[in-house]
This record gives sequence, structure tokens and C-alpha cells, in this order.
Amino acid sequence: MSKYLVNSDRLIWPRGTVIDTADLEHCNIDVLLAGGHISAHKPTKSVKTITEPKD
Amino acid sequence: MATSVYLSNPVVTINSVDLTDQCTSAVVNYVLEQLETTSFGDTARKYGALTVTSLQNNSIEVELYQSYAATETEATIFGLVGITTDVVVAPASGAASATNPIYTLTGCYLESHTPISANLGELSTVTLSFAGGLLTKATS
Repeated sequence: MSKYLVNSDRLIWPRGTVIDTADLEHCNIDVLLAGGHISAHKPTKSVKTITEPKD
Repeated sequence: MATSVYLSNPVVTINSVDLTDQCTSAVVNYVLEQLETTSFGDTARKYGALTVTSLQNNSIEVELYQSYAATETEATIFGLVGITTDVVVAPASGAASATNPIYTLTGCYLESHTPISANLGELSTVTLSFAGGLLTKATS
């Protein structure tokens, strides 16, 4: 399920909210994307670095 | 005293985008096509009957101020031409109730749009007509 970031003050969700396809069930998602109301949300992955204990 | 309706703050949402602050006019047309059911023996024409269900032929017309800024009128409307969408109109903001019915036209079609319609010294406006779709009225 794709996630989207709300970039507009004109949607029912506050700007900055992350929503998914189910929230946009009755919307034309492509038009909202083209209009700048939402953008694809790509969460940044946190990378764990494992450090070997020094002998 | 007769009740008068003065709509100064209706809510207009197109494709889930609230364009109320750009809107100056909204008309919701709820139509069930008139089917003739007159038959032999009748002395006057008749239309419809308890067992006759005709097709809805609804439409919503709105007038909006044009704006080319981000997430405003043009950005919201341009991509909707030629496809279906949902339009919601309510007399006032807030929850649906008997005194604030929310009308939703689901799956209506936007045939045309005028991206540029400008006159010198006047604010540019666009008039949109959404046709077809199923109209529902929510009161709770």
C-alpha cells in the first residue's frame, strides 16, 4: 500500500500527515499528485551500524 | 415567518480538495429523468409511478476564482478534465445534520475547463459543470 505526504492545506488531513491509499479511496490520486496536494512518501531508513568490540 | 436561506459560507470540495475560499457560486441539480407511464384509458398524461425508477441525471455547477498558485484552483482542476471524480457541497461547515445536509455527487464527469478566461481589470473566474454521478444526501 503506497503512502503519501500531505503538502496542502486544502485536504481534510493537516499538512505533514502521512496517509495511504486507503485514506484516498474516493480520490483521484494522480490528480492530487499532479496538483501538489500530496507527494509520494519515502520514509528514510535508519541504518544500524554494528561495531565490533575491540580486543 | 417564511424561512430564508442565505448561503454565505457553504463548503465545496472537489476530489477531496477544499476549494471553498475560491468559490462564489454552487448549484446542485438533483434530477430523476421523467418517464412517461400514460396508458390506454388515461385521460391525462402521467409520469413515473411507485414501481417505476428512472435514472438520475444530476449535475453540480460551481464558479471559482482562478489561481495558478500551488495547490490552488488550476492545479486542482486541470487534471480532472475528462475523468470522473467526487464533488461535495454543504450549506455550511461542520458535521452533517438535518439543517446542514451534505450533498455528495459520486463519480461525476468534468467535460471541460477554461484554464484562461480573463478580462482586463477583472478577477479571472472559471465555471465548471460536473455531470452524471450518483447524488447522496447525508444528514447524520
